[in-house]
Amino acid sequence: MSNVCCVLQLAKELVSYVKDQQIISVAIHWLVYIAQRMFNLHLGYRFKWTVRGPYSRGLARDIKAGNAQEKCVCDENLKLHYIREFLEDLKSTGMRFDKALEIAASYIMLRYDVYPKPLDPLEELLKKKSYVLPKEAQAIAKILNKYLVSVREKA
Amino acid sequence: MRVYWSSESAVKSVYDELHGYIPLNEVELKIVDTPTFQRLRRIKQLAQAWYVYPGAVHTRFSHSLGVMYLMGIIASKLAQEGIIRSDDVQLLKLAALLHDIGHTPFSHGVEHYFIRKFRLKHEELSRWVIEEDPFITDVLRTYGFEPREVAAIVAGLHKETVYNELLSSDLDVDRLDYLLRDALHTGVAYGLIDLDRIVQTVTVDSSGFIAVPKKAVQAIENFYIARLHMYRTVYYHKTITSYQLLIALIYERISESSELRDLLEPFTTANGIRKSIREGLFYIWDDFYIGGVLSHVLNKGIGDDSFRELVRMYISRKGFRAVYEWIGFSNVNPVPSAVRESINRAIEYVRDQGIPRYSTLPYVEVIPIISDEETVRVLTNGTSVKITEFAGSIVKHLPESMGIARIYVHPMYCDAVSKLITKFFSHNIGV
Repeated sequence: MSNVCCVLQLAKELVSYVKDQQIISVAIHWLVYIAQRMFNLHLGYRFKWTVRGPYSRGLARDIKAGNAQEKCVCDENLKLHYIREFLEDLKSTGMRFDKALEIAASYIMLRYDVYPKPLDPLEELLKKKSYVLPKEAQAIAKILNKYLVSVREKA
Repeated sequence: MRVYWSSESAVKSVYDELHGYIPLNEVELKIVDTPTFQRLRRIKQLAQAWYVYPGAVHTRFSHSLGVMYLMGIIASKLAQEGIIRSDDVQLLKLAALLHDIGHTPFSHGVEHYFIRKFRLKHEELSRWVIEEDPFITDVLRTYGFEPREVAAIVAGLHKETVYNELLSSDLDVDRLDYLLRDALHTGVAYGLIDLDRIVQTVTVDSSGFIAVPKKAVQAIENFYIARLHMYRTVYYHKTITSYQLLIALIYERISESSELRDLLEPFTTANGIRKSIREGLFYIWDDFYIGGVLSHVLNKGIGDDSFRELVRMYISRKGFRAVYEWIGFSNVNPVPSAVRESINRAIEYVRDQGIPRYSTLPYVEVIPIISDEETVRVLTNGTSVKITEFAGSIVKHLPESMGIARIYVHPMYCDAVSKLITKFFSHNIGV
């Protein structure tokens, strides 16, 4: 049950930025993906590349199951300090928060996980998401570069 | 260089009980002829379901051919519509053919052990096999296909999201095949769907989501409802899940015992399996292999009495029996905490009455019925909406999840525990 509890704890972090529960249920996939990929959290979820970004069936199932847990304890070190700092950085772009998170998660996935590897992940992201402006994607990419050292080492 | 084959390039046809003749071209036939793919003939699609539905002995071999066949039809249609590249149709067909190549023996029963112990799912195993099995990689490379690209589709990580969606989404070729095939072989009347209507109308909306026109909405509604019924009557049937739990327990006992482990080596750890894949030995790990191990255990009297008792229970179909079942549907808490707690308290109560600890097993499962992100879209006036938001569709009234909670009991204590459970719940009204 521990993994679900970690996810629920991460979802609580989102509540300060996103009010709509329906949006949170999608945005949590992006945050957990980023937490696993960028902050090396070992929650074991497998993500696939979908139209809106990283998505995990296992995570969706666990969220449904985990909502019923009243006594929830996360055994992982969630590195919440770093995650909060990152979320604040996203907020500082002034973009709608869930959009910023979607761009961030999608950019990381395009850069490190999808195959065939796009020559330019940013260009690919703009091609896939017509509602994203180049300056928005660039602003997020700039923030991510600050954090992506560990990902680069892993890749 | 990669070659694109049309249906005219078939070099062989296989008669499939569901789709009729399935043509195989050269590369497909070469894949099918590898020992690694032939292994799928020896893995039952529904593992323990034949303990309830005697006809459910079909294999992952025929299912894989069926998924490839459907992918061929749909991908060709989408290629004609200019949605996907024509020379990727073959790539998609190969991914469909190989999507279950890494499935564990006894399907989800043994997989359950590896998920719990190593977080290893069959999708990951399939990726390893496609990228590292010498027989499979050799054929793919010979015909100009990059194993990693085929594996990317199977893992849902291909750059083109549509490719991932076709193989794994709410309405994918995998589900379209297995619902019909499993209904056919179990004999239940619930998995019947309007395959022709779906296959002929399915397309992709401007964002890249799988979509259908309005005229196919009823076929999709029926698809969702059929799935729901199949979950209840087949995939999560109380007896079938009981034998899944039992084989997982047996596999765990063997894998974690220094005395018994040799029987299954190297298929007891993630690293061991991966090594076998790289050495071209993965193909021996099948239902026959595990079945042989179980018979050997009884024949030679291997392991302690309690272990052999579990094996005997499995082989003789005398497994754990459900003495309590709770089923609920909901969008938020499919199995409320009150139900979970009651199950745990009931088991404690039973144990307090002198029933041995190992003889009762709790079972709680949450089964998503509609996944919001993967929901099929309906095309309307140049735009599209989720079918769950489409006016007039009954899908929006379906629950998002089904929850099941059960208490299983060793057959020796079944009568005694049944009485105790009835007594317990009669005093816990409202659960």
